[in-house]
Amino acid sequence: MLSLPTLLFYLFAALAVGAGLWLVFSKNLLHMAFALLLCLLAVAAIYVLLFADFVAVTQLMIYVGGVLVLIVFGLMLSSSTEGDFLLSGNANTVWAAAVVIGVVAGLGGLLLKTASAFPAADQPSGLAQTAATGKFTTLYTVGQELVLRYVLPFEIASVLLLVALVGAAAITKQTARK
Amino acid sequence: MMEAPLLHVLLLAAILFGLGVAVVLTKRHAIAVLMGIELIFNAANLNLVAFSRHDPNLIQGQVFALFVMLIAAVEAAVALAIVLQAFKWFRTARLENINQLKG
Repeated sequence: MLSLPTLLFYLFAALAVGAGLWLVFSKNLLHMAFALLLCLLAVAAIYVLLFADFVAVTQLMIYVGGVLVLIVFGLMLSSSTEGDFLLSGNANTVWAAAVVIGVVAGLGGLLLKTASAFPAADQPSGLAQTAATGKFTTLYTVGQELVLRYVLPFEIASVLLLVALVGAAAITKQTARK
Repeated sequence: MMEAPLLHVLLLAAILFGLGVAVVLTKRHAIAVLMGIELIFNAANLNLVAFSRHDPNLIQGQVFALFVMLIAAVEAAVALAIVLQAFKWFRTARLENINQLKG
């Protein structure tokens, strides 16, 4: 008997895989961007079902709100004058399919072989037990971890963000070939 | 309350990773390849969040997933800057036409 969250998980998992397949098989770059949007939204919903509320909100804000807009912007700015600029053909399909099937089969086989080491499915996970006690958000724990245990990576990440944005601005500022 | 088993979440992440690798390997447009890389980042994040569910006191997987998202945003910004510069230089964003390092 499946409970509602489990049912929703399989629903959103199917949505994510379907959007991923659309991403692979679509030739139109705007359709690809829309498929990626759908996939990222489904993954955000799965984060909520996995008791990661803060990560889900961050996924919506950073990926859907930021990275995808950036990608569409890049798509518009890099459109050529040939007319077929929004189409992307496929190359190397045969050996790429072989590599992908090999990788997924290998990962899946490894996961199925080590499945007995995972926590049992019928007992609730740690976060589920915490959530069952009443008011629940991971925001407090995430914030505390970020400023106590991971304060150095946090600061390094902020410096990395600054350097990357300055670098991106510097790269795009150079002049074109005559 | 019964939850989705960890194994199924990890299998979903493996499938998404495979789809991302497929996009990176097959697409000819530079920005399409970037979309595949974003999908691979998401598969990795799904693994981290799935394991973090069994770590109730220190949700280290979720904190690490936040760092991965930040790296993904940084990567997208820098890679798009490079793609735009290459487009200005070669007048195309198709990877098979960008075949020389000397501009």
